[in-house]
Amino acid sequence: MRNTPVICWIVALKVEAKPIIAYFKMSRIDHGLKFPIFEDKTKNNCLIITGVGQLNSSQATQLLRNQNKAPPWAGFINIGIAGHGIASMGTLFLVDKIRQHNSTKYSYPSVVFPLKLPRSELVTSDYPNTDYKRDILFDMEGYGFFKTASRLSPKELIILLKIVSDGPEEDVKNLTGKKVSKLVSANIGSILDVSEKLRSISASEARRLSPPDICRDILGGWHFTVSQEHQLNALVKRWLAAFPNRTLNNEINKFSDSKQILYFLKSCLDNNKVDWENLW
Amino acid sequence: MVDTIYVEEEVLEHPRARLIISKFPMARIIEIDRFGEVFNKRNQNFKIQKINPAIILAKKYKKLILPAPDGFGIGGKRNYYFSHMYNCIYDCRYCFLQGMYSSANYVIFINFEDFAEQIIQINNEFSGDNITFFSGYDCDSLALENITGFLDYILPIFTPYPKSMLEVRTKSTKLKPMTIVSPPDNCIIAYSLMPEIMSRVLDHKAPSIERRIKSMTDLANRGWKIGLRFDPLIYGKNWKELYTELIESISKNIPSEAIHSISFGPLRFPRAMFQKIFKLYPDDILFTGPITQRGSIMAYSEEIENEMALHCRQLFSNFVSDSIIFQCVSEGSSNLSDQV
Ligand code: SF4
Repeated sequence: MRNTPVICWIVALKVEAKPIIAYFKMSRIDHGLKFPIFEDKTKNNCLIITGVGQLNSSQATQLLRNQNKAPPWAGFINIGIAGHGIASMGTLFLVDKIRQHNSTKYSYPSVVFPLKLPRSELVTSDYPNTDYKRDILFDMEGYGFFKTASRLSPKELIILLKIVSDGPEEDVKNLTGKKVSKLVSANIGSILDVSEKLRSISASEARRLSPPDICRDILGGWHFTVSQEHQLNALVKRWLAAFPNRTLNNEINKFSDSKQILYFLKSCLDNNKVDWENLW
Repeated sequence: MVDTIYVEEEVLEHPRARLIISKFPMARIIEIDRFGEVFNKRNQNFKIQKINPAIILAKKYKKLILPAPDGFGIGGKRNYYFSHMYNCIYDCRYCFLQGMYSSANYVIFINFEDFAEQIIQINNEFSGDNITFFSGYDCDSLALENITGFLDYILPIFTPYPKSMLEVRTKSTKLKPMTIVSPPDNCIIAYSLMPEIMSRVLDHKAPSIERRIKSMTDLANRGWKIGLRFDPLIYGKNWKELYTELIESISKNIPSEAIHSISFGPLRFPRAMFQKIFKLYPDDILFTGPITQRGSIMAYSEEIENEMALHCRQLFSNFVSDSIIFQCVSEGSSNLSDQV
């Protein structure tokens, strides 16, 4: 598994996706799949165009994860347009409370880094909603996306961003593809700011969850069972933190099997007296 | 600065909730039904939440005051513990909260009256006995006192019960709450301590040991009873010298008459909890030490534990009478002894 940060973009419409695809220089990679998928060269930014509706959004989120082989530290961002009862056209919101139109049960996307963006509740319905009475957002995908994404990554790595495109003063029927792309482009700075912050958390999760590079060499040189491999990963992490100035490769190349290596690592740690005075 | 406050609908209009909310004028207030909707859910990540924790204002219904596990106490016949909060503004690497919850948001239970009612009930039921109530099991008791006002509320509850003792365990050096009331006879402000250079590495975001000693000195001078808590004892190179220096520095500053009690205990985690904490910080210095599996717990070897206990007890007894030194013998399944 790669150990790089990954951001998966889930977008309903091609016109919404355009500015993001352009920014990351993504190209289409799917071959006859139900939803178009785009990736940049590194595969660390990928995007799927889901079409309208919760079911599509949910299925596409899962599909993008599978196609990209996104690791458990992948960040997921759903960006799209939405109606709002009060806010003016073009306002970008971070969603922190979400429910389906016909339900009273809420979910709460986390707000894991301080952002200057205004925040809002989002209601996802299965048909275009023009009941603009309240100070909340309406869309047709958000809930389906959130439910699926929060099974794939920690909830803290899932973000919903909505740009107000219609409301009491702005009829949804007047929306054109051009207008929608413009709305996203006008907010691209803030959208990328959010994605970079998410990427840095994804990067630190990648460091935390990936085995150290040297484990790959060790596994290539000796046979380890699956359970021994887990022990090895944990012990090597501890060993590297304990002895940053030693070279593990040099110390284990004399061993002939996995047991000896694990025993060596464990006994180094069992005999380690942390030198608190000279850690810095 | 907290930028999100979740509030249970039921407590939204509670004056204490309104007061807390008013202290964060820029925060977004999000109404919820019960705190379990946002706290400790599956697939939450404690470490990431620690970057920008939210406050959750809630009501606690059950298990407000609980009997402390065997092996835990500072001389009282009966021991109880409670927490008006879950989680903590500090981030100590050995803290069991990291392994207990998947969420780092601060839950504040604002129904202090219900805590008080149960404390009164227990005091009345066992009025002949010396009872100790330990505050700060799932949190640091004082770190958010300026927000919660819990101590301010709970202290007078103990006034009619001289045989009942309240221990307030903390690392906080914000002393204001203790400067506006006169020190009661039945309250101990208990500070968690370890050698400064260990604390610098392990007690993230917490006040330095030097500042804690200064605060204890200040409190002692004001007449407060002080508890010294060396729990967990941390092992490493020169640990004997480091603990000796620490005790010397304490004894130079705080008169032994002000010390109510000293307690100490080993570093121990239930195995499953250790796995969770280790997974969060797999390359932390704490885990580079000789921590091994001993049955269902992860701990230093028995030999190290015993040597540390023996040496530290000796150190403490040079400073205070043996009768006020207590060893906490947690089996790792109870976490009360290891925290704050
Ligand atoms: S050990 Fe105590 S002070 Fe440290 S983070 Fe945990 S509760 Fe807070």
